[in-house]
This record gives sequence, C-alpha cells and structure tokens, in this order.
Amino acid sequence: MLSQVIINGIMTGFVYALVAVGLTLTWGVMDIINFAHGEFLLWGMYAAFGLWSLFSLDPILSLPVSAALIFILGVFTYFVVVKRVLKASGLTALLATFGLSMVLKNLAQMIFTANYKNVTNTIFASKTIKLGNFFIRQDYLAAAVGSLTLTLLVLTFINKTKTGVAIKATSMNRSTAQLMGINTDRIFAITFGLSGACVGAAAALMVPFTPITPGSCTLYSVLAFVIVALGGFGNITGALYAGLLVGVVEAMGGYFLGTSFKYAIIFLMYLIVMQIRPKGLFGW
Amino acid sequence: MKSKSKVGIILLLILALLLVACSGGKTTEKTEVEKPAATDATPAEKTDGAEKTDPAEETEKEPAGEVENVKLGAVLPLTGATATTGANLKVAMEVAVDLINNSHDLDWDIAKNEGIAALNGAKIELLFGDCQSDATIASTEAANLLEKDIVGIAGAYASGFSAAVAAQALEYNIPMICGSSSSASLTDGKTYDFASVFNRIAANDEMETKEFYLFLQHLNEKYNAGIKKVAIAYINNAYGIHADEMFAQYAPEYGFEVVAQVAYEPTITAADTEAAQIINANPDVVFQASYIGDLTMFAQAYKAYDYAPKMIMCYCGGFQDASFAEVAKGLGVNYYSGGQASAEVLSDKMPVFKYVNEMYKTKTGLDIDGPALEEFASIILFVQAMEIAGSSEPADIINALRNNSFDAPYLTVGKIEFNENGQNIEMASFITQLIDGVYQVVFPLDEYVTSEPIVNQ
Repeated sequence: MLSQVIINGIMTGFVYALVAVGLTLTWGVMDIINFAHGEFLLWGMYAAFGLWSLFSLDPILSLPVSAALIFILGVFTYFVVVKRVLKASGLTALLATFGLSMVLKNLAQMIFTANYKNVTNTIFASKTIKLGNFFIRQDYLAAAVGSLTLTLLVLTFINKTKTGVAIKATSMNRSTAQLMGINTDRIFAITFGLSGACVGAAAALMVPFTPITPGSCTLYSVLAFVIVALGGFGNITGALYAGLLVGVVEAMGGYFLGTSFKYAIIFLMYLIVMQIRPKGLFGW
Repeated sequence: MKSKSKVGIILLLILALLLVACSGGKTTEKTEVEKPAATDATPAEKTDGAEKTDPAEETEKEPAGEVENVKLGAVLPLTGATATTGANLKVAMEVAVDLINNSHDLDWDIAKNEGIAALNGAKIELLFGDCQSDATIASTEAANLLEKDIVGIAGAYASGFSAAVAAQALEYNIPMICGSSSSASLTDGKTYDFASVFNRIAANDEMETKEFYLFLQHLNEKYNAGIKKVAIAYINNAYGIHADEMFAQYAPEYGFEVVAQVAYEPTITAADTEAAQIINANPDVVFQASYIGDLTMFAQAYKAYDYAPKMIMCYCGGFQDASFAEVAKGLGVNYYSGGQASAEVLSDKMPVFKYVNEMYKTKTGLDIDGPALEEFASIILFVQAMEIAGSSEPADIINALRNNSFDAPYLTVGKIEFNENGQNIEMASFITQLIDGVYQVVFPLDEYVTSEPIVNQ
C-alpha cells in the first residue's frame, strides 16, 4: 500500500508542477507576484468544462483550446492590470492581482454558480493500469505525462528560442535587455500569456478528477507558491522537482501521520527549507 | 532572492489565512444538474387560473377585509458560497407561502384554505434576509428582520448560520424553526442556550447514525450480508467530526467493529491517500461524512482502485446532491446509501408531496430535495402553530410548537413533534440507495419502500 501511495504522490506532483511552472514564469522571471494565478487555473477548468458540456469535447482533446484561452486571459491581464502598476512597488502589483483574483472568482460564481460541476465519462475516467500489485489511474497518468511533456516544452521554449532567451534576458536585467533592442513590454505580455497557457493546460488535464467550483483552485494556488519557492524562483526544472517532492511528501505524510496533517507537513517542510536555504532547494 | 523568500513567506501566510477563511464557511454543497424543461401546468396554475402569479408576489396581496398580514422572516444564504442552495430553499419557502395564502385543490387543510383560518384568513408575508453564506452576517440579517415585527423566523441552512440566527431570536423571544441544519449540537440542550425558542425539523446526525446501524443489522439478518467491520472517512469540520463521534459511539452498541476513522481537510485536491487508508483497513461498510466535491473524489478513487465495499453509508451532505446520482451511475456502482427526507419515487404514494414537488419543480427545474422540503415545512409549521394557538403572538406560537404534534403529509413519517430542546423526535428522513442512478427508498420497512436494497457481495 505504501508503494501505491508513493505512486499516487508522484502523479499528483506532476500536476502540481505544471501549475507551479506558470507561476514561476511570472514570479521568478518577471518578479511579479500574480495572486490571480489560481483563478487562471479555475477559468481554465471552466473552459474545459464548457467545451465538454457544449461540444462533448474530451478535456484531453480540448487542452490546446483551454491553454489558448488562458494565454489570452494572461496577455489581457498584463495589458489591463499589470502593465499599469509595473513601475510601482511590488506590493502594488500584488494588490492589483489580488483584486483581479477576487473579480475572476466572483465572476465565475456569478456565471457558473457555486455548484460543483463534474466532467465525467472522459477517455481515461475510472480506468486503471495494473502493474503487479499497483494500480495507476489512467486519468492521473495522462495528467502526469501531459504535465511532464508541457513542462519540457516550456523549458525548451525558454532555453532554445529567441523569444525564450529574450524572456531570460529581461528577467536578468530589464534595462540592459531594452538596450539590446528587446521589446520588454512585449516580452512581459508573452510571459504572462505563457504562464496562463500553462495553467490552462494543467486545468484541462485536471478536470477529469477535480470537481469544479469557484473555490476549487485556492489550495492549488497556495501549493504553487510553495513549489515555486522550494524549486527556486524562476527555475522551471526546479518547479518540476519541487512539485514531485510536494506530491510525494503530501501522500506519504498523509499516510503515516494522518491525512488531516498532509498539507501541514508540506508547509512545515517549506518553512524549514526557507530557513536553511532561502533560494529554494534548486535555486541559484 | 532572499527578499523574495520573505515576500513568499508573507504571501503564504496570507494565502493560508484566506484558505482557512474559505474552508470555514464551507457547508453542505450542491452540484448543478442539468435543468430539465419545466413541466406542463403547475398545480398552482391549475388551481388559480391564468392570473396566477409568483408566490412571492402573492404575499404582497392584502387579505380581504381588515385582517392584517402576518409577517414571518427567513434568513438564507442567497449569495456567497452556498447561494444556489439558498436560492432553492427560498423557492421551497415561497411554495409554502403560496399553499398557505391561496386555495389549492388538494386534500389538505393548509392548502385548501385561503390564508390562516384561525386568524380570519390572514395571509403570510415572508421577508427574506441574505446571510451571504456568513454566520456573522446571518446574525445581522436576523436582527434586521426581527426589528420588522415578524412573529417567527426560519432558516438558515448551515448549522453555523442557524445558530447565529437562533441567538438573535432568543434576544427577541421570537420562535425559530430551522428546517435543514443537521448538527446535533443545535438541540443537545448544552451547547447553546436558545432551546426555548429554537425548533429543528431535520434529523440530526445522532438519529441518522442509529438508523444507519439498524439498516446494516437488517442487511445482515435478511440478506446475510455478513457486515462486521465498519470505517469512516469524514471531513475535518464540525459536521464531519460530530458524525465521526456518533459513528464511533454507536458502533459497539449495534455490534459493529470500527476498523478505521480517516479525517481529511475540507480543501483536499485528491482523496487517494484517504481512500487508500480506508481500503487498507478493509471494512465491510464505509461511512462517509462528505460534501459533494469530496464524495465525488472518494467515489472515483474507490472505483479506480477496484474497491467495492458491501455498502457505503453517507451522512446527508454530498449524497443528497442530485448530481451525485449521476456520478454513481457514471461509475456503474449501486452501493451508495444515505439519509434523505425526500425522494421523487415517492410521488405516487404521497399526493401532497407530489403536489409540492411539482410546484417546486416548475420554478427550479429540479425535484425537491431533503433540505428544501424541510425548509418548506418550517413555514407550514408556523401556520399550523398559529392555527392551533388561534393567535399570532410569538409566545403563543412557541407554546403551540412545543406542546403539539403536527400533521406533515409531505413527509413519510407523516408528522412533526418537538422535544424540550426543540428537536423533531419524528425521524424526518429515511434511507435511500442509489440504484442505477435513482434514489430508491430501502429502509425503514414501511409502505414507502420502493426497492429491495442491493448488497454488494
């Protein structure tokens, strides 16, 4: 049973990682704390739910649409909310995105009501792969594989493309990047959009096993902040490793110490790591 | 980077506080189901003809002659996290007002009469307060209503909201009838001091636990189910903790062995670890004190890990949500049972229930569920008490409520009677089992049973 619990933790960790990758882009690279990150995830879930309920489109198939929609939401957020407070103190941007999070959450409640919504009968729903004594849920496996693939794609984009390198350069020194001819305004918009696309994709991967309500994503949002801090700000591979770590610690902690403590253990781990290594486990 | 870490810690503390705040207000949750097309003519339309208006509008009509309207108040969560449920409960209360204020072609005095007979046909005017799914605001809204010369107050769905309203009702010595809150602490006579004015219709979790164990004994005796070991998965809040206490307290008394008690946080993102602990204990029957989101995650996890207990007994919460029927059906499982005060399958056996259900369904597109039926009953009871007292004085209503048994033809038990702490001693709910996605009545064994239970062997 313990092995089964660890497998479940790894699967959950991959999903956490993808949610955190989006956050690490804006927080670590742009140095902007997007408090509305969880609500981006929420709207991604509603997008996947809407496509499923209206067009019977399986979330796995509608993933690109969910990602694209939240990419647009991210770009829109940058131009309408973030850009206007970019030169102000960090606290101003934080409060602006906090306000946005309230708007997005309440808007979701107004449109979709507070009622839970379930995406059922998906391609991988309630199916398992049996390996010896272990069961692997296919919906979790699909989410994990999708999450890993997308994280690697983001990593490749950041490291190998001209735009990705420009994002890195902007994160290192905005003024110098501007002197080198980089349109930092455009880069910020793309980064915010990319962050949105990540959570939009994560949302599509998660809806087969996550009931949706306006409060669904609050904990995911908190865990994403922990993962980004543990993984090192702006470190995409760090977010991946930290996501896995959090998933496994949550599962094992819950198994050994009681499930009511499983999140407390994560936050305890976070506090200890921050005291010993403030840059995060994988930060530089 | 170091400054980022500090900001991060502060941020996490803020987020953690927000999370606690959000989960603290979480109560019984509901899931939206597809709303079917409205039925043909409503019973109200049938009886009142083309000029029939909304029940809320009906309350604004002045009764004939010099008789003044009798004002009642109701506090419900009409916005906030439980807004959709609150809206449905409001409709149920409005249906009650319609039945009271207008003459309906139904063999039931309350519905036949126009207004309150003992008060010369006085009509009910129902004033609503929105507690915004917040106990503090529930208290303020109750105080606002109590300043408006109401003679009784109803509501407020979640036990925390109801307790806040009841505390205000005690200040004004106005009777309160709480329809659907389930926490036993409301009527234990110890936790709160508002017993003198407070009355609760719903069965509390202690009563529900005893009925669950009686049902399991019945399964052992009649179906040779061989149920010995029981376990519980419960949400770590007042509702879940109390359900767990009752579960553990009564198991030995009814001859069952508790093999696991698994608590989980209200904000879980997955229930796999919790399900694994239950599966590891290998109980014959699992009890669940869960809301719809959690219950769905547990159901998916049990199914994914090929775990099929003989029965899963659910304390109200998520099981009563009609959308769970779709979840269970989608998973192809028939082993979920739980307490309900209402089931559409009873329509043919209960004409008053059928009539009420049709009125409700016309307005919401949904069959009336347990909480809505209990809130409907709260308004009906006020009028029944006034009919008996021959008065709309709050003190007389309080006396009438405590010293009489009330006819309730819309409930299977048929009557409502309160004890000295305000608890309805008649079991308002029965046990239903989700069989092929339909709530079938399986226990207690009376004329309302609609199906044999299915024991997963």
